Amino acid sequence: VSAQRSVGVWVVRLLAGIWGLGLVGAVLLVAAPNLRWWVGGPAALAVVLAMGRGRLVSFVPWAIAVVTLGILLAANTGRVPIPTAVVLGLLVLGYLLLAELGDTIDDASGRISWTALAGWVWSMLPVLGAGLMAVLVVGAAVLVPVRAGTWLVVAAPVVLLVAVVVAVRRKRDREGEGGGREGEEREPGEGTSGRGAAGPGAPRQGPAGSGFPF
Amino acid sequence: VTDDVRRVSLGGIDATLRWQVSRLAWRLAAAGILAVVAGVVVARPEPIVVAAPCLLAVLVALRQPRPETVRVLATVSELRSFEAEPLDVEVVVDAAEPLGEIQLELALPPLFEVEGAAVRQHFGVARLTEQWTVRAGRWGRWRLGPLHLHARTRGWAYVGTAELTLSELTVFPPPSRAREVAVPPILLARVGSHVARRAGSGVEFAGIRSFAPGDTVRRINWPVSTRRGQLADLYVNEYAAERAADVVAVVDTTADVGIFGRSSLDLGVRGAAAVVQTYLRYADRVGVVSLGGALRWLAPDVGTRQYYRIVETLLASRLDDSFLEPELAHLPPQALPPGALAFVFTPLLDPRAVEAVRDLRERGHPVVVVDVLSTAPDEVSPPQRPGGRDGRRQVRARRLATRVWRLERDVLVHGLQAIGVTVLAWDEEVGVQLDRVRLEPLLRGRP
Repeated sequence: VSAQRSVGVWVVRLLAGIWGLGLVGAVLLVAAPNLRWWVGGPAALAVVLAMGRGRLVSFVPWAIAVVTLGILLAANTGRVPIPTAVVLGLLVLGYLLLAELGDTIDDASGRISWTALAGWVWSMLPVLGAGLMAVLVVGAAVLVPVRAGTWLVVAAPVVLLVAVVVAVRRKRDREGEGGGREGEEREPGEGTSGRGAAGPGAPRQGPAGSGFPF
Repeated sequence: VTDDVRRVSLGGIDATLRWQVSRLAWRLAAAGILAVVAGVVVARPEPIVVAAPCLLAVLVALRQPRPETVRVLATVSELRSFEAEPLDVEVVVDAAEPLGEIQLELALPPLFEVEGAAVRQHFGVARLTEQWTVRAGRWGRWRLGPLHLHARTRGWAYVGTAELTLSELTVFPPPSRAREVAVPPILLARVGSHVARRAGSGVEFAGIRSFAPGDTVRRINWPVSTRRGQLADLYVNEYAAERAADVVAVVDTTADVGIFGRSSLDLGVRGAAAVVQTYLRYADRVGVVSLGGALRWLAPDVGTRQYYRIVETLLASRLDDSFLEPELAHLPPQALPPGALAFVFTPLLDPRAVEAVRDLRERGHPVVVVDVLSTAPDEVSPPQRPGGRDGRRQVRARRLATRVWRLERDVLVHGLQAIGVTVLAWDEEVGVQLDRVRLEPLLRGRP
C-alpha cells in the first residue's frame, strides 16, 4: 500500500475557521464602530464553535446569519463599497465550501489525501467558476456607469441566448430518452404493461436495498 | 493478498440512487436569499453583490448531471471461511459520468473486524475500486454488508444514497490443531488408523510367535530364531491391527450462557467441530447429535464431505426455546452405534443433559464431557455494594449462594467421574485438549 500524504480533518476545519474569521474581519471593517462588538462577537463565536464537530447543531448557518446581519447594517449606512461586497461574497462562498468539506471528511475516515483534495477542487470547479463569474458580472454591472436602458439592451440577448441553449439541451435529452421507445416495432395488440416491459415505466433491476444474486 | 487469489464474483447490479438536495445547496441558497432580502430591506445593491456568488453557484450546481443508477460490482475472495481468517471484499463502483464524491461504507455483522477504515471516499471520480480485508469473529451464516453507497454530483448540490446487501458468508469454527487423540476401547472391524489390541496387519510391533504355515518370510524374526538355536523352529513378528473407531460429538443446546462469541453454545460448537475434524483425519466414522428443544443427529460416516455435513448441522445450532419437551435423556441408537466414543459439550446446567450423559455411560459408551461453561453466576450479575447492614447481608448471601452453587457443581462432576465419565474443562487456548483425554475404562482395564 503506497503511503499517500494526507491531511487531517482538523487542518481543514482550522482552514475553514481562519477563512470564517477573515470573513468576520471583513465585515467588521465595514461595520459601524458602535456595532462592531454586537456583530463581530457573535459571528466570531459562531465561527469558532463551528470549527468543532457539532453532531446535533451546526454553527455554520448561525455564523452566516450573523454575518449577513452585519452586512445589512453596514449597507444601510452606505459603508460597503462594491469591491468589498465582491470580496465578501467570495468569502461567504469559500467558507461554506470549506465547512462542508470538513464535515464530509469527518463523516468518513477523518483524513484526506492530496489526490482526493485535488479531486474535490475539480468537483467544485463549476461552483467556484459560477461564483467568480457572478461577482464579476454583478459587480461590474453596479460599478460601470451605464444607463439602465443600455444594460437592458446588453443583458436581454444574453438571457435569451442562455434560455435557447437550455431549451435545446432539454429537448435533445428528452429525445435521447424516448428514442428507444419510438424505434420499437410492436405487434398489434401488444401492450407494455406486462412482465418484462422495457422503457421508463418498467421496473428497474436492483432497486436500493436489493441483494446481489448468487 | 496476492492477485492470483481466486475471487467469487457476486455479480454486478445497477444501484438506483435516491437523490436529494444536499446540505451545502441549502446553505448556499439560504445565504444568498438572506443577502437578497437584506438588499431589498435596505434598498442597496451591495448585499445583492454578496448574494450573487452563492445563488449562481447553487444554480450551476443544481444543473450538474446526476445519474439515475451506478453500476456496482462486488467480489469476495471466499464465500466460506474459518473464524479469524482474512477475507477480501472488493467493490467496484462505475458511474456514467464523474461524480463529485463517491463514498462507500461497509457495515458488518457483530464480531466482524475490518482492517483499515470501513468508510472510503473519493472525490471527483467516475470509477472507484475499494478493497476491505474482513475477519469473522464468530461461526455462523452471516450476511456481508449492507454496503452504504453515498454519491454527490459535481458541485455537491445533490446527495444520492443506496444500500446494497452483499452475499451470505458461511463461517466455520476454527480448524483443529490436535495431533493425538484418545482411542475408544471398542474399535470397529473396519481398517483404520488406531492401534487395536488384537494382532493384525498393522505396522505397530505387538510380539513374536512361532512360525505357522502361511506366514510370509519377511515377518520372520531372524535374530530371535537363531538365538533359540533350532533352525526348524522359526519365530515371526506379530503386529497390532489398525482399526477405525466410531466417534459422536454431542452438543448441548438446552442452555446458552455467557457473552456473545464466548458463550457456552459458541464454545460447544467450536469444540465439536474440532473433535469431528481431528477424528475424521484418522479415517474414523464421526457423527453429531444436537441435544436441545429438538433432537437432531447425523449418523456417523467418514470423509471430508461428512465434515462439511456435520459443520452445516452445527451452524444451525441455536438455543432451542421449544415448548415441546422431547425425551433427551435417551439418545436413539441410530445416532450412537454401540461402543461409540461420545464427546459431550455441555455447560452441565440442564438436568436433562446430565441425565443423557449418565444414560450414555450406562449403555457402555466411553464418554468425555467437556464443560463449556465460561462464566460463573457472580460474573453474570456482580454483587453491588450498597451501604448499610442490609446491603452487607445481601452481599454475604450472594457469596454464600455462589459457593453452594460451586459445591453442587463439584458434586455433579465427581458423580460423573465416579461412573467412568471423563470430565474436561474448556481450555481457553487450545479448546479441547484431545491429547490429554484419558478414558477411564482403559486405565482400569475394564472394556
